[in-house]
Amino acid sequence: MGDDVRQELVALLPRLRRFAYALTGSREEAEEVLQSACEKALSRLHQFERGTRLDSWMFQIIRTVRIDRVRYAVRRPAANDADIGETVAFDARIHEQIEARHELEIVRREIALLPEEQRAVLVLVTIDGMSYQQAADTLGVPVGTVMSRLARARRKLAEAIDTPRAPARLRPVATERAP
Amino acid sequence: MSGSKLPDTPSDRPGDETLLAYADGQLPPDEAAAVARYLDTSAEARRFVDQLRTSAELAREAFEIAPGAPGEDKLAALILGTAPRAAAAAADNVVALQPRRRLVDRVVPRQAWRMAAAILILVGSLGGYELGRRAGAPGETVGTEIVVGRLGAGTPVATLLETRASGDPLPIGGKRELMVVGSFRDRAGRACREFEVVSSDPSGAPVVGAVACRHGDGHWHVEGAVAVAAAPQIVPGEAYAPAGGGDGAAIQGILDALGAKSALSRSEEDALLSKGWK
Repeated sequence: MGDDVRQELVALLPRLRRFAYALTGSREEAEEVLQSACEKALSRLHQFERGTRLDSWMFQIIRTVRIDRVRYAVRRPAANDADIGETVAFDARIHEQIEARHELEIVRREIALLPEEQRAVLVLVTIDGMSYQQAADTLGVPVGTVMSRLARARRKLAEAIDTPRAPARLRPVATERAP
Repeated sequence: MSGSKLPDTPSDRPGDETLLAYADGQLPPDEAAAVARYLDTSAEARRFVDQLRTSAELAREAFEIAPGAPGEDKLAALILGTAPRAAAAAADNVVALQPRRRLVDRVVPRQAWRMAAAILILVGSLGGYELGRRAGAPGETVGTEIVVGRLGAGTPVATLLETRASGDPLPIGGKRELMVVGSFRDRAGRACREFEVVSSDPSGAPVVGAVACRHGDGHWHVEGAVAVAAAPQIVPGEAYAPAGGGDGAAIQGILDALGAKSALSRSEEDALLSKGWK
């Protein structure tokens, strides 16, 4: 099978890795999902239609592998990254850094709590940067469905961090929640 | 998001989807201009758009992975074919498969699933593709497609079992394909193979799982098959529990009943393939 497709696949790895990470909420699980997805893709490379989007094809495979793993309860509970939850000694110099990490942790948790269909859309559009139409094509759903799922997901995220005006990471979290 | 003292009536406010598309820069220029005019009049809407943008930035940042992640090189080598096939990883001990279907995982007894009585099972409709015609008694046929019992030479399943390596799919039309998952010997020393009917769309989801062994008459015999349920929606916070013990348990039951030994290595399987399983 074409080396050019393989090269393209390698070039896609950073995006695929991030997609798997956001989908699973765990770096370790993401790596296992990604490897399985790549193995599956390689065994089916002859089915890939040239001229179509390799990224969409791979995203579909990653989603399927992920669902498959959950389905068979192979998945370990999605652990937060060890360095996120650990206790960090308070130090004024790193206060800002702690808050930033805290907000990232909130975002990860919120995304992990989303229904899978909303999370998939959010990851494709908001994190990967696909257009609504590309996400709809990838997921095989109408663009209107993408928009409504995304709107629900994004509202939850927006409310979770609740950042009215100031740059997110410079403010304490959850002290200015809207009434 | 409501509760602010706003001069707008609710009907004036663009919906969340419109405000989101605006925040994401995905609105056509004329619609974006209209939303921008509305935002000038609504602190609540401005605040919401602000939150949408900030949370999106955080979401992107939350899953950034710096180059040089563990396994990066290994995966690239796998894709480019400059590393041993994943299938042959681990010193050629196991034929490459999806993790959950890796035969060796199952031939090592894990649970006391004994479903022997329920083993000679099944079959769902496969869209009219007759996969294994045989000359057995009609009463032994279960379902309409994959039949339990002797497979006629030259049928798709027999061809698959006789000629294809594990992981090498055989298209059968109807957006389906057959693929051997792994090979092993049963307690009687017969060569046996676990195979699947899988969807050949990108999902590659298995539809039917089955086990066949090569009998002394030179024919492959399907020993049992199970339907595989459609993948469920994943609901966060709810553990997935396969209904009725799951097809994995049913396949395990077939393997247990046969007394399946460890999975054959790729080289062992290759040797049998080249010798016509004799």
